[in-house]
Amino acid sequence: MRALLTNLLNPGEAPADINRLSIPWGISRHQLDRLTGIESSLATDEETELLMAKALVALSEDPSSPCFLKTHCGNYPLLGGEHRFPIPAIRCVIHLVRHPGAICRSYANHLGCSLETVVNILSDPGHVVGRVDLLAVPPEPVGSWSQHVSSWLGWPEGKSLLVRYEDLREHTEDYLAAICDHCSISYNAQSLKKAIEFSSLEELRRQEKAKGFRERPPSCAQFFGSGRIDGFGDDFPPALRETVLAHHSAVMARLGYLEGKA
Amino acid sequence: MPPDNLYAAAPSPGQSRGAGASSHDPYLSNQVFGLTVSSAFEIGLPLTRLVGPADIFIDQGSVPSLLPHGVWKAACVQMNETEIVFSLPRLGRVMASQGNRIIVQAHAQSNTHALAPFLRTAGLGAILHQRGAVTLHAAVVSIGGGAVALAGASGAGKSVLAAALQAQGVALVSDEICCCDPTSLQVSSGVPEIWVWPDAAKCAAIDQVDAPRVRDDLSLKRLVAGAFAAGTWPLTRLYYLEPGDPHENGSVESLPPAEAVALFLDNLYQPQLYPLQMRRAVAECAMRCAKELPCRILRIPRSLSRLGEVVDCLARDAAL
Repeated sequence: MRALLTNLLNPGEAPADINRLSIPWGISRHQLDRLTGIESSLATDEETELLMAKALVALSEDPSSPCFLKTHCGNYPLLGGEHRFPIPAIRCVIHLVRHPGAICRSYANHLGCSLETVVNILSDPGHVVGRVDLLAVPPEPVGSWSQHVSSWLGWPEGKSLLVRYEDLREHTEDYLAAICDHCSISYNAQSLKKAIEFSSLEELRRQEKAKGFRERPPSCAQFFGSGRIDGFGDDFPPALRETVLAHHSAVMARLGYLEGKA
Repeated sequence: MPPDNLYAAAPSPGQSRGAGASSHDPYLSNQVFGLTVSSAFEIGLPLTRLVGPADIFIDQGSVPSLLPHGVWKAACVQMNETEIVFSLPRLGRVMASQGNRIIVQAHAQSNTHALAPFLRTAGLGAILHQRGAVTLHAAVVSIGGGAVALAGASGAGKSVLAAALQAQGVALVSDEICCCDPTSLQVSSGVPEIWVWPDAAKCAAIDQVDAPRVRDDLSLKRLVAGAFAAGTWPLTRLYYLEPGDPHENGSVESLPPAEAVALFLDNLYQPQLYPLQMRRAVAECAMRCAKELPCRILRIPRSLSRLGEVVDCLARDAAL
């Protein structure tokens, strides 16, 4: 998605460099500290979350941006009941979801761990994407897959666009156009086609092979995979499939993942 | 030339400082960045007997939530001509006043211990701004009789790199803040401590298991500097830390002056808090450093397990 938006918003003659995507990987600590004026590394996770909410408000008031921001965070309220993402500060939300079976495979590759470990992670209400090596990004509370999806489904109606990864892969042009309409991004058929071509998985893999991808963790052999959209597929261990369904079938049904298609 | 000190001299110990002020224990005194600091409560600085008048007093008191004629410089920071106030959610407020006082007001559910780390960084940093110093967000070590600054964004690896150099016998000048006189380019030593996270310390093979925490509710550890270069040192080199490829060793790249100026300005400590009358001095300091000093980009791979190689790379470049 970040590659798609970068190629759409900053069109060039060649695909955008995957190591210089214009959509940031969250708010870095450096940016958080500059926006708040406070050294957030001296704050607890709860205090950092409060600072983050203030930073988002400050960012939204900056006339030089609107900007897109990626987050792994669930839309959970803060300890005192405050909004983690202050609603007036957020113009619109693109809520990207994916079949939990596919996420398990992808995340296992990302973390370099077993499928069983990731199945447990996806069911963990306390799951946090934390500080990794020198990546200076404040912790992001994710929670379980179901909690995370449900939290964003609660965003005010009309300001959030739910996009299934599988649909985006199969009908990229239609869904990218819908995203542009939702976010008031100007486009035409040609700009969409070019952005899609420059952001294809083949192109992303090609760039990663040629010059590496700085966001690839050491545990991960290759960041950009095949982009599977077959949900569990035929090779997901049956016992683990049952575990995923036991924890997440309600939300899966709500997203249409139990209707015989991915 | 930096502007003349606009602020009144610090009051003597015991002298009345207005309603709510308390007398200071003359034994709570420290030398930080060339200044004698006297605090009414424990702030984690090494204690010495007070000799002569203090330059800065730290006390508890009332800090306004809205500064008179204040301008919001960041989401949690206000500033007027003489005061800078930091509002810390759930913790309280810290005010730097006239270059000679820091007032701390803790929220009911908090205490001065939780505020102390912010006081030592943001609070002291603001005082240094008010006193005309140029400050970089950098750890500083002493190599070859000069101060070598390791500048970078939060999480870039400044402190852990300084700690790794310490382990090889290099003396610390300061962690977190490089305090530089813009005219002489002399760097003043700070607190003889490095603050590191346990996982970072482990990767640098630094024993921190028994080290105290910076805050009780934070795993960040305080490491006493084994070798400390107290006093003032000429700034001789600047390294700007940037993330490198996670699968490669560290590397050093020379900077052309124009880029060195830009990086200097980008790595200022609390850049939004420089008063207007200081901005020219800051710019001139940046240009002078870029022209006269070796300035480098030091790429640090994401994996801290390669920190030893980064240290070697820096040591070769700095001719350690």
